[in-house]
Amino acid sequence: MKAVKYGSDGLYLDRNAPIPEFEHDHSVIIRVKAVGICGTDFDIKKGEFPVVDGVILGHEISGAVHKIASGVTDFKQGQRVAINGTRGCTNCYFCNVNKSMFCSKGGASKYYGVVRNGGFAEYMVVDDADLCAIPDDLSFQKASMSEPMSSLLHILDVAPIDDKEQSKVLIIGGGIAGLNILNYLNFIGVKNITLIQRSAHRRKLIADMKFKNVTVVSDTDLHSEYLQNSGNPGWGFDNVIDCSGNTEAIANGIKYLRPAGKLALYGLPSKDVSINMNIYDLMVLEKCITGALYQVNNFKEGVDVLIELSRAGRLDFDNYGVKDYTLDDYEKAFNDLTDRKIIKAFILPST
Amino acid sequence: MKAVRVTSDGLHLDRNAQIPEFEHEHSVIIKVAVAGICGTDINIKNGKGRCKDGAIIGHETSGIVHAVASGVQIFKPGQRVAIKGTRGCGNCYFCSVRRSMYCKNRRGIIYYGTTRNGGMAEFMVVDDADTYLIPDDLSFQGASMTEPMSSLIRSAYIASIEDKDNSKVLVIGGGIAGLNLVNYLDFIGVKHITLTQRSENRRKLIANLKFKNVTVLSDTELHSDYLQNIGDQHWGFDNIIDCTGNSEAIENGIKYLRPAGKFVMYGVPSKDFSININAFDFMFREKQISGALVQPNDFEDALNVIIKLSRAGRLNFHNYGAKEYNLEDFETAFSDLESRKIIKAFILP
Repeated sequence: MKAVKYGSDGLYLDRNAPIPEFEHDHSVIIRVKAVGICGTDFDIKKGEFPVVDGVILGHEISGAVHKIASGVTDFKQGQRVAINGTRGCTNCYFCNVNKSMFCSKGGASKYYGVVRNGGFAEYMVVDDADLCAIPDDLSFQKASMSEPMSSLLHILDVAPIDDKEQSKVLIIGGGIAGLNILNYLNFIGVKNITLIQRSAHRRKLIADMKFKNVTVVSDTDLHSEYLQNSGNPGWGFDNVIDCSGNTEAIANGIKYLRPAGKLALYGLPSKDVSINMNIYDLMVLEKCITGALYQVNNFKEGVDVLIELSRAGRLDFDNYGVKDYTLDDYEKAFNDLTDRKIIKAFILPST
Repeated sequence: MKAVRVTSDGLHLDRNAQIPEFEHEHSVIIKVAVAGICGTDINIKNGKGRCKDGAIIGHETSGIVHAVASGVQIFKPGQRVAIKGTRGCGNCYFCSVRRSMYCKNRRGIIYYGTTRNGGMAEFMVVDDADTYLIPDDLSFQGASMTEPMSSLIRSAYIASIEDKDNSKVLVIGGGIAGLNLVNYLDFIGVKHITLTQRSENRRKLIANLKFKNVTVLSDTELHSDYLQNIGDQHWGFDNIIDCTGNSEAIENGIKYLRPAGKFVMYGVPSKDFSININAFDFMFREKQISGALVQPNDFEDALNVIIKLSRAGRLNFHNYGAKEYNLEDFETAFSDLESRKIIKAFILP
């Protein structure tokens, strides 16, 4: 079968990858229908995200059940499913406190598309426990967004928004991650949302989506506003979500917090960069800086939210600049994303 | 009356201070029994804290109701009470999300002993809404500890200890704050508590207090342990609360977090102190760093905790190295604290 893999020279298409086989009696072979390209895949491509050499990429996956092993009772051949990126052992300290991505026996060490073979392939083998059935009215492309949706929901676990009516929320970065967060928060009724987006072209794109209660600004405009309000302790945001990973943006994000505000680091920062911060300010104003990685136990919740958004007509991707590609065209998909021609790419390996 | 005031020259004993009068119909005049000295008071004395010129210092107060104004319905002369340091308006965004220390309308940081006259005096006037009855079996010293206990409880709340049986908790600094915190965590059943304390004398003192689930180490011992275990992703602590405000302690302390760990700054650092954090490490290992100040609405919970600790025999301050002083001896009290002869000073006006 065809599969896109990671090698020390970068990504490559293997035309003769073996079709996967059952690994145990709870294995399911999936015919992959849609796999999303994620910012993390770019980090992997650049060698900045630790992966297993030779692994098949792709962790935002949906497909149809192709074959089931003898112990599988919950799924049938042909069933439409979304695939959870990873799972914990449920029996260690980290799993017991809902931090199973740090499980020593599972978690990040079992991630599809990173450690285990993922969805940039015609077929993939998964455990039945990683599957979630999806309804017929949810397209495969949309269903593949379950993984990013559940990681987005986790941001609200680590940095909760206290009051939808009054809390002031800032999202840094209007790429697909920032837009998805914006869309979701707007949908659940958060009333004061600001989004920073550098590119004027993208600001226009977002304005055309006609979100209510959303202000879109350039990074320079917001920084001016911050400087103008330097004596005003009530100015600022209660929740800042950084989707950029950019050092300067993060350092500014800390400054834009108002008392008791929380900064969630959602975009992946560069490894060697340190951010300098005034700790007295952090302490007396009870500010919080938290990483927001992933939480594997909420996949079903992510699927449910996706279905709700889809049925409310809130997942109209064409407005975002979205395109489908074949496996053979994976390089073009990555390039179109890099050139900002599109905001989201789906690979459809079965076409 | 006698009172200790703050001026630009430091603290002074005023022997002819006016006995306070009612400020409005909800005023209560307290005959002060105990005023505790806090680290913040030491900063104020040394010109580093925020205080109104001429204000009477002291915000850890307990005493006896002396007189009540016409609108006060709950309190009567002779009742034993503890006094809360501050109160929000109850009507702004910050109050509505339970952070009234940032209240827009009252500037909710502690006001008694800074912008309003405080407890190092024979009498003090307070609002009835800041007054709380205490049971007869709670000492005035214990009651005066409610204010600091409420901020310690908040630090524990922000540290958000996930699992009392299994989470590994580190308290940095075994002064009165660290000790009170460890006492509280041990009492509520946290099973893995480590406390670092530089001074060997103090480590001995703490060992004599016979906590069940507390390991006491020097800061150098813990740092060696850290260095020996670099590379082991499961070494480290899930919840770390710094009670020192010391830059080196904080910078090292952050390294001791294990994945998904939370670092809470409780001790107040110097104003110009900055640290470098590795954002990748924080994001990829989902670490957290937060400040913990004090939340006025925690006072009631703190009073309940103090009462329970007291009834469990866990508030024996003299075992901690605490001492009582008259108002006239306030200077000795401050210097004994600053020279570390004692760990806690109570002024008994």
